[in-house]
Amino acid sequence: LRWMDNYKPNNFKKRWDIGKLLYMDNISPLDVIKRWSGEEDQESEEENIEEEDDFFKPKEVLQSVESHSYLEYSNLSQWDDASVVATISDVFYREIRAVENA
Amino acid sequence: MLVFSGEDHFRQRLTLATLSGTPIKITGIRPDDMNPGLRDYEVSFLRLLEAITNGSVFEISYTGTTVIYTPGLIIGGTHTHNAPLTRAVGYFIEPLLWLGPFGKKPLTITLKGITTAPLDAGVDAIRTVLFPTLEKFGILDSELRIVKRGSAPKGGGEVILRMPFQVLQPSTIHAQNLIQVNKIRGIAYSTRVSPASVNRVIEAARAVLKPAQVETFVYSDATRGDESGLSPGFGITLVAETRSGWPVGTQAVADAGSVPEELGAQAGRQLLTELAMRGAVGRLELPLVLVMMALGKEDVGRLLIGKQMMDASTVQLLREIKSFMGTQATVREESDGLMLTIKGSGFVSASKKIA
Repeated sequence: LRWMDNYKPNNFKKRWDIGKLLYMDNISPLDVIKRWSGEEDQESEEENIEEEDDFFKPKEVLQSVESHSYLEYSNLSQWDDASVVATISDVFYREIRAVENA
Repeated sequence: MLVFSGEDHFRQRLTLATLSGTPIKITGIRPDDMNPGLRDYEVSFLRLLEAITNGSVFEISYTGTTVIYTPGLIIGGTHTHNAPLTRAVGYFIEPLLWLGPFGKKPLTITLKGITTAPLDAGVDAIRTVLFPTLEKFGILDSELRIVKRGSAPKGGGEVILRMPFQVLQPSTIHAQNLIQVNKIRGIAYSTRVSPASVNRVIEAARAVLKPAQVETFVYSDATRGDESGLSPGFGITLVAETRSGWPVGTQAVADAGSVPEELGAQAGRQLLTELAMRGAVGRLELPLVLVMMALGKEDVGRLLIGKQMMDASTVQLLREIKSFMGTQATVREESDGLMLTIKGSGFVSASKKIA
């Protein structure tokens, strides 16, 4: 499971429930995903604490993020390796082939 | 009245406002930009909304950074819309798919401009991915006829969108099973370039998909003469057809300097990426699925999505659905994805209430 790659054992103590995060309107959609996937590391947490100190700073507008390409992709070149394609063989329906071989 | 800030999700907010009949105010539209306020395609979208509704009121501030919109009734009808050359016609068609089935009259719109561009759903993706999705919700017979294809930057394309089928409410769906791909289909097109480039795109895409060992067939549409718009271009849309009937698709469009082989291979890799997300539906139709589920009758629908499909824009859409329709998704993490349960808002097409 690729989404779990970012999980280190010590991250498990602050695992978030996406169902609850989803409607916490004080957390921007991008941060919801970061927290849920465990990407938010300690550095950014410290930053948050600093921000809280600056009580009188004008509140930063929560910027929602609209993707700037229709669909975004990363790491596309991995698919040139047939063994990577084999990892998703379960999404292909094979019954007909099995009958042919029998 | 709901108040939003910023230029993001502009179409989404206006469309949900129209469906739910909620007045909205959007402030802070590019206030710090060198060229502040609405873009030409956003103004064009407002005009389109005005055309297909009756009684809508728009107030745009002098600088264009604030819009107040009081939606009227969705009427539908027959119209022609000249899309600006900054976006593809898909920018306008996608919201029409949300609105069209709930109008008073069937919707027929001729759109002129760019037919496929990287930022928006292309005409082939709309036909092969979004139309089958609408059928799952009981909205049948949608048609998008491509009269002329037009590539960026000059466009010159023309398509006719017909949504003759009117429904009171979309049907409730239960999409709980992981996709099982039967076969892969696609369409590659070219405008004002050698027809051979289409075949080069197709060959490269097929080569990437070969290890998947699934029947793959990509149609070619090398347009000529009048049918090919004003600018050279080519592109490909790939769709995995699944046993459950939910399509999983992707598209790749050439820009300056694109090589057909690379573009085709890229599309193939993109499709594999989409399939690797698993879930019960594809990422391309996810926004449409979520909105239709929220518009359904007061019954609980279920939808399994891949974990990667829960991205920032999905979170944003679910929040806005809650703001406009008052219906909230519950999410359960499962081993093979996220199970969303959404109760329909019991929405009734506003134009039908009176009749």
